[in-house]
Amino acid sequence: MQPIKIVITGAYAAGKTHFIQAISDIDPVTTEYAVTDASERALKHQTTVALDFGKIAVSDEVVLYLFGTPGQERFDFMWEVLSEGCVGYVVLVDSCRPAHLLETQRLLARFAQITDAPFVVAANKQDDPAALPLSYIRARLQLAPATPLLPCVAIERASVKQVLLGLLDHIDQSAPGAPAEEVDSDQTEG
Amino acid sequence: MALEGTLTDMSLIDLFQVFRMGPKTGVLLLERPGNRATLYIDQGQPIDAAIIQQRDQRVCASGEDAVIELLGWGDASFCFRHDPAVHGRARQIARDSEMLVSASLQRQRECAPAAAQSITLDTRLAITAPPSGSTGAVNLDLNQWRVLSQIAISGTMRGVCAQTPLAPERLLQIADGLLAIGLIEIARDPAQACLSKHKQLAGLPSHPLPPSLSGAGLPAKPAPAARPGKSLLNAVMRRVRGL
Repeated sequence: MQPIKIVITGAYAAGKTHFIQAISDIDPVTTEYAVTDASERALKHQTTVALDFGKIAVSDEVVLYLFGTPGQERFDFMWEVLSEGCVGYVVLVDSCRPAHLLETQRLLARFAQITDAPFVVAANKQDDPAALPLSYIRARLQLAPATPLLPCVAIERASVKQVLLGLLDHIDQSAPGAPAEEVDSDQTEG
Repeated sequence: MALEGTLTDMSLIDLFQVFRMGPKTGVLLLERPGNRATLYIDQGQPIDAAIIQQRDQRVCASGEDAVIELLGWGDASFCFRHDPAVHGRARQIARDSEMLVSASLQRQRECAPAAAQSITLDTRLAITAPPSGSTGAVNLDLNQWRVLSQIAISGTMRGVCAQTPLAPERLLQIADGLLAIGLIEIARDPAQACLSKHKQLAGLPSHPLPPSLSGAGLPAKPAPAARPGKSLLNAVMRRVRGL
C-alpha cells in the first residue's frame, strides 16, 4: 500500500475540518473537544485539539490521506509531527476575518521552517460577497508570486476538489526538472 | 455571512481599498465604546454615513464629516455585509473615498500643529505619495514649488537652504505649509524608509514581516519528503477529478 499524505492547515476556525469532511471517502476521524478559551468560544464551540483525518482511496494500492492540524498556536508542536512525510500542504485562510491574515502569516513562516513541501493557500468563504478579494489577501500574506492562491468554499466538495487539484498540480510543477510555473497563480483576481 | 474584524486588524483605509477592488455594495457597521457608525457603500464608494452617540442616541456627524471622523478612529470593531438594496439609496457623499482619506489626513495634521513645528534645518523631509487625484485641487506658489523640488533632492532643510535664496525662517514656514497640505512628510530612518519603499514598489503592504519570514534564526529543516512520481501523481489527480 502506497500512502500519500497531504496536510490541511490554517489558523483557528479557518474551515479545515469542513474541508476534510467535504472530500473524504470515509467519515473523517476528528478529535473535537469543547473550547475552553472564551475568545475562541465566541467563534465556535468545538475545536480540533489533535487532528482531523480523512482518506481518499486512489486505487487498491494507493491511498491519499488528509491530515488537518489544530489551529491554535499552542498546539504548534503537532504541526511538525503531522507534516512529517507530507508531499504538500494546503493553508486555509478565512476571507471574512482580517484578523486571520496576521495569524496565517505567522503560520506560513512556521511551516516554512518545518517543511520544504510545496503548498497552496486556499481563501475560504469566497462565496460571500463581502469576502476580501484574493489580490488583497495575497498582498497582506506577502505571498511569493509563484505560490498559488486559490478561491475556496470549504463546505463545497467541488471547490475543495479544485483546491486539491491545484495543490497536486503545484507539487507536479515543483518537482525537479519540471517547467517553470506561471508567475501569477491566482485563479481569479478580486 | 459578513466581513468582520477590528480596525487594528484592518484599517478603514484598507477597507475602502477592498470595497473599491470589489467593487462592493453593502453596509459597514462600526462600534467603539460610546459610539457606533453606519456607512453605506455603493459600487465601492461611500454614499452615506452617520455616527451616533450611544448615550443619547444622537447623530453627532453625518455624510462626509462622518467618514472623515471615522478615518480618525484608532480602533473599533466592524462588520460589513453585502446588501444590494444600498444601490437604491440617495447619495449624500459627493467625494470619493480617496479624496475623503486625503481630507482626513489633512484634518489630522491640522489638529497636530506640534508635529509641524518640529521641523528644523536638520529635519529630514521626504515627498509623500498622497492618494491619486487628491492633489488636483492644490495650488502652490513659486516658492512652495521651489522648496518642494529641492526637498526631492536635498533631503534636509539645511540642504534646501543652501540651494535657495530664501531665509531659513521663511523656508521652515513654507515646509510647515507643505506638511499641512500633505505633500511632504518627516522622513523616517533612511534604512527603514528604503525597506518601506521596496515594499511599496512590490505592491506589498507595510505590515511587519515575521522574523522567521525574514530569514532570521531559522533552524535546520528536516529533509523534505520524497515527492511522488509523475505517474502516481497523475493517478491521484485523476481520482480527485472523478470525485
